[in-house]
Amino acid sequence: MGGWKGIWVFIEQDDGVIEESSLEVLSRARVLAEERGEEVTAVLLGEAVAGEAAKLGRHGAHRVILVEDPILKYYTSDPYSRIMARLIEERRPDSLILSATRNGRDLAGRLAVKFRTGLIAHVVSLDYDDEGLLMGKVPGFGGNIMAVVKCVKGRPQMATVTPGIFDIKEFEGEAVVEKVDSGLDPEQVKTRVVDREIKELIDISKSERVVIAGMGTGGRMELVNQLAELIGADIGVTRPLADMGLAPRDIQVGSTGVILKGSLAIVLGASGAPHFVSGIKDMGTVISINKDPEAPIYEYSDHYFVGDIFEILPLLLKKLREG
Amino acid sequence: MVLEIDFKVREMLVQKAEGEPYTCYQCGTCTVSCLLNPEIPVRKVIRNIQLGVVPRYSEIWKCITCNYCGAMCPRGVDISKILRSIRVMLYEEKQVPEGFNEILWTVYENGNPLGSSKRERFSWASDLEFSDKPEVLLYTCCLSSYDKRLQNVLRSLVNILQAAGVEVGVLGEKESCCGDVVYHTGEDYFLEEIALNNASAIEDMKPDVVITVSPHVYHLFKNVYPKFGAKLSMPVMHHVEYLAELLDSGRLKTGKLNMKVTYHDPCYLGRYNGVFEAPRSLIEAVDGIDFVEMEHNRMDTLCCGGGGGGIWTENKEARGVTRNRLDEVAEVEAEAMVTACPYCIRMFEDENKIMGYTFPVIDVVEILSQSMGGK
Amino acid sequence: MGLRNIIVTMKVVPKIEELEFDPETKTIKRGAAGNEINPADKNALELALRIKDRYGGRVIVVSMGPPFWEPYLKLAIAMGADDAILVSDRALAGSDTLPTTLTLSKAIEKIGDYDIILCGEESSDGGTGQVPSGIAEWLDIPHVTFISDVMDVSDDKKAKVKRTIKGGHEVVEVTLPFLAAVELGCNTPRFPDFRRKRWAEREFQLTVWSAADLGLSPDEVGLKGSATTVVDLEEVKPPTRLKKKYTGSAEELADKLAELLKSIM
Repeated sequence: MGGWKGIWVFIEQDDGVIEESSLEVLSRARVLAEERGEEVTAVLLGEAVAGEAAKLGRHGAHRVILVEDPILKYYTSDPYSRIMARLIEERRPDSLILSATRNGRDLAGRLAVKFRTGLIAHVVSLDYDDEGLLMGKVPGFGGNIMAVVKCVKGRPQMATVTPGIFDIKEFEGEAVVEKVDSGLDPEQVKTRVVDREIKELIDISKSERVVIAGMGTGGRMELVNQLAELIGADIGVTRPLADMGLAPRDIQVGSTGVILKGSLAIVLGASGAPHFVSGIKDMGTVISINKDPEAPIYEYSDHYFVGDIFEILPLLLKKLREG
Repeated sequence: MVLEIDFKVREMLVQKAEGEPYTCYQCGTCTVSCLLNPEIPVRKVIRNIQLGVVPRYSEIWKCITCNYCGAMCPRGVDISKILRSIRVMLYEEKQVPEGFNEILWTVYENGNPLGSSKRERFSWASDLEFSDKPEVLLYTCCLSSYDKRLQNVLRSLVNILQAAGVEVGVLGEKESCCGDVVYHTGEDYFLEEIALNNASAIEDMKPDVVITVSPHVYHLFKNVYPKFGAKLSMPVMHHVEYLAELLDSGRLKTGKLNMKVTYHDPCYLGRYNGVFEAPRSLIEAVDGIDFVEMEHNRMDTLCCGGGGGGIWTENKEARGVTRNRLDEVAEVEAEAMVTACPYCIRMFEDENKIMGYTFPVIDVVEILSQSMGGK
Repeated sequence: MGLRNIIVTMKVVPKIEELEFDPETKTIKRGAAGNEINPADKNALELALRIKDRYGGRVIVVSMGPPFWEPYLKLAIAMGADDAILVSDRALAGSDTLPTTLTLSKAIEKIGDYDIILCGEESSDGGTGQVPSGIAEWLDIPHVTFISDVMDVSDDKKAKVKRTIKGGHEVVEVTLPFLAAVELGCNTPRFPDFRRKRWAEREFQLTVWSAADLGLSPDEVGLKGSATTVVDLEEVKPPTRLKKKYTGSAEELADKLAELLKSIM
């Protein structure tokens, strides 16, 4: 296989369902590969996912490496990292890019140390410099500052990409799928999923309209829920509410949560912390209600209503219901 | 239910409560007079202590420490001390609700229970000038400093004092939480550290007098800090006391305001510390004021529901207490509810939005300020 | 069963909202900001103390940072940790994930005799959550990230941990010794015992190790040992928004907002 060549994208799946943000990364990788005259290889590990592997060409893969094994049905670090490490050792990709999901981050940190290589984590942009070094922008210090980071040592060059940053694109042509044995001895596997409970998959990253509750709501969600239902919006929260366990992490908006991409955000009682506002910057229209006439969120709002949420919302709901 | 007898615990409780449990003769007036619903089983708690039964009543954390029960007690037992001793015991046993545990961290890491930045503490005063060697040191209060609404009380107070020719100083970044919520969590070792630090910062400035806007700060400085070896060498006054003195001496001149108002005695200013007449004298000094008393006033005052750490932790049981008091204001048809405590203003204002009464809740200082043409 | 050492990695972070960025010099002024124990690390320490209460073991905190972190390590002692170690060396400045994980893994090896290593899931100052799994790789032990609890440790050297996943959680069985990254906010860290804090401040002797104590050469750590480099810092400017401000009574505001919503939806 020679020396370090090509871009690899780790395609995450869970019980046969492909993680969409992996396809975002795959599409971006294809664009970068074409600029560099290289190939994109999608690496898919799972239990029985050959059907999904065949579809990856459509989103940018030239080749697919497919590994199937019952133990790979769900992600766990030990078998996944061992198989990935073996594949990388054998085939030597120049770059390995993952989506910065929980599992993507879990795997990336381990592999980067394994290969003593540079890992740019949680990037919001991804390029190569003139010397072919992988380069990404990483929001730091709560999102106030963007650090431009390069890999300067080791191969494969690695990055994890914040979900929701790149669009999923369609490409012509089919990918060549190559099946590889897992080589796993089930007895030797040191992490395995023995039970799981999924309540409801909430994904607000593609929601058109989102009503976002901040600390100003005190976590009292009744009126927030009513408004969301009335205008057909999903619910998001700011980080403190998720930190306090008042809402699941999956609906936390911001650089450490979900980056929204819809048309309307209604922000209730959020002050506008830097890590939060990066989650609404791509929304079409931002409407905020806040008691404080000069909260930082004003700068990030198209329409800023200075007032008390609990006074305005009941009246607003009444008016909207009246039509 | 298994009763645990432990005389060591009894000894600790009686000591913390300064002997008060033994004065009780179990008439039960306290329990029936409790403002909360469901009520705190005060009589049972005291009986437990008397007998040496470990009183593990988690309801204690819901107590708003209004000490209405104490005021009603025919034997004059200071029940507030007994109830706090239970918190100290439960804290030692690590049986403290999560909300209180979290608030301790917040106070420890930020110097205030709101989690706000220390540097923002005096943002309300950025255009005001203070003296380095003041007659009067104004000790604000975390809530007043960071709450945009309550900052108006501080600004009005400074303006009035300075207009009366008083040299006012503040501690600036050296000012920190007084420890009220720590006191009510029962973490006395942390409180001791806070008390000693604050007292030393105040002593360094050498003011003639310290004035506080919060009755809670006032109570701690006056009655609690001395128990932790942090007695202040200068007098501590609530702003209404100091302003009343200025009025008497002729330095303070009030203006005119046509308004019908009533006054709510904050528990920690009135019931705990007997300051009843100073605020009334200030209000009535304003020309055109029509002053009415509510049914419950002075020692009988009701409560905003914010004491005992309640304002910082979700205390749903206290909501009825807040509402009852607002109803009384409406009954006397006052155009404004005047009080002298940041907790009271915050609690009443919030609940009033839901109840929909139109009268504002304002501080005595704001009545004075408005009468002089200010905010 | 009695557990061997439970090691918790800890970091001290500046309070993000108090940091200032100087766009001229492109530097972050940390000096102006207050500091605190990285919030997720407090959750990790709390979990370690709970595991110790159930299964025994000694809880040892290890940090890599400047000497001014000492009081924060003593705070961890006041929370209940049995011992604390600070790896402190000028040579370590500028380390990215690779040398950071190397250094921490060397310190953990030097402590030795461990069954469980707990880290906060990420640090609040631009953390990326890559450190925990990196340490596990250096130590060649299995790891699980984003856990909210260690539910059970059995005699056959296996543990069941609760891991947060999209939309719910799963239970992962992992072989001891293992490393786990603990989710921010998964428990309520106990407030330090102030009597113990006073003792720690007066009498506890913090162990301080240098890079050389861990057998690390200057080339392996710091900027030299790093595999990534920051080539530029950019301040993020707010996007252009209309910034129309509305004030008035609640009634008026609700009217305007209702109108606005109808016009754009």
